[in-house]
Amino acid sequence: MKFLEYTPLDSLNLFLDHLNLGDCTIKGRLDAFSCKQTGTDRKLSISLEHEILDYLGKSSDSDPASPVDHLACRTSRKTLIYLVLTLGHLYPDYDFSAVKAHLFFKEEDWDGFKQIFDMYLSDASREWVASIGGSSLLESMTTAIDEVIKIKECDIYSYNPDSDSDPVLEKGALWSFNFFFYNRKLKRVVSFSCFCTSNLGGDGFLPNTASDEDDDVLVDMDM
Amino acid sequence: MAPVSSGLQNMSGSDLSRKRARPDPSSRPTTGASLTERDKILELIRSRANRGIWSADIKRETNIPQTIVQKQIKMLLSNKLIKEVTDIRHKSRKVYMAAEFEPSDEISGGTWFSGGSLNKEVINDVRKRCKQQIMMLKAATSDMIYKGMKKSDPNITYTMQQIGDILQSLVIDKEVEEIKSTGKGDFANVPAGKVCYRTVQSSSRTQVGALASIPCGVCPRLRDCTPDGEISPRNCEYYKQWLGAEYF
Repeated sequence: MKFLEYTPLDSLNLFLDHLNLGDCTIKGRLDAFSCKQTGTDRKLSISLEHEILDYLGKSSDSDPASPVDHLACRTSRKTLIYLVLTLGHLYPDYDFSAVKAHLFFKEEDWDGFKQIFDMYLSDASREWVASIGGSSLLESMTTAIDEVIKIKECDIYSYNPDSDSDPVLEKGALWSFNFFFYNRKLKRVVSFSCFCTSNLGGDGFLPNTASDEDDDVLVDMDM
Repeated sequence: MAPVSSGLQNMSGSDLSRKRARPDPSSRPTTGASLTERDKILELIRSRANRGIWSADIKRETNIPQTIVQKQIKMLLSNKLIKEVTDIRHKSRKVYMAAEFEPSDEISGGTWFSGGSLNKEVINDVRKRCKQQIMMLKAATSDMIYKGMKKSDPNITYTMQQIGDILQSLVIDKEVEEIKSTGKGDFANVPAGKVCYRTVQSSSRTQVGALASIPCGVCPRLRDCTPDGEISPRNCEYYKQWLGAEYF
């Protein structure tokens, strides 16, 4: 999946990159991708396809109306693979399994997205209007995304992983969400990821985000 | 080839040609800059021995940007100098280890894990063997169970500690009972007072007390129940169920 540069997204990203709201900080980003695959992507998408087909083969003996049935359709598999590849580009330090990820993706509609937006980003919206003015955060975001990907033609997905597959959980996030807008015709994906961390409390309350290497500092000491 | 500089005059011609000619077998023809970066990354990964290192930490400690790290790791992988491993504490992280090391118990999960997930087959096998020993010996300490297992199969490589873990899991699953020996009867082989294991006895299962086996004993309306009230034994729904319709 190739990164696409879009200046309207830049100003939003600048605003959302490190938004300090006093007792918490929001970090959000909008990224646009074309479904054109790099060499590494191609290799990965082949192994993802194998992973899905293996899984389908195994589960064909189980209950007839299983949720994986739609993966038997090639288009659905392709969509899933694009979404997983996008996750891989957003979080390059993590591996994502297609079979697991498929359970965490949910089809959404615009109202569903708007609901989540209003729920988590109302304070951020106020900040936006106060510091930048003009239209609301949601309107600006909608216009920008629409320029890249024509929202009306998009399928919208949310990604809600379990703790094993959540890269943001390690940062001690209070909340997070991930949305993907996929325009099949244009062969483009826009992702909108957002999470919030607390500014309160000492380091003791947050999980150890640095590598466990820090433990070794004590190894050679005479204790 | 560049002309030999005067500083190298002391070396014999054959030494020079040896120094110049042999290419590094682990590198592709590439610029000096990326060779250094790859060396830096490889050295860092090697320094982590059997603990491995997360890709995010590689970036943090070498300050090399993501795209270059990704490219170099890809090359190191294809040259089989490093490998991908799973850290069961952070399952979806990309963790790399030098090829010559095997993952430590800490990141692999030890004997009971294989490839990042619980090795159910191995565990069930050990559980079966433990239960076999316990059934044979009627009551046995973990020591006795361990010795018995080794006797019937000298090839097993588990430690006492690991057998202890499995026995605990059997106790929690209520397949085996942990109890202090009386020194008598079934416990004859175990010194009195010592903790040992035996198969679950039906007598030790909790029995329902007498008061709990009639409806009044567990009735949530006990306090409101009076002979003439709205709630009374006369119209009690629970008794209706308990005694059967023919009595009401």
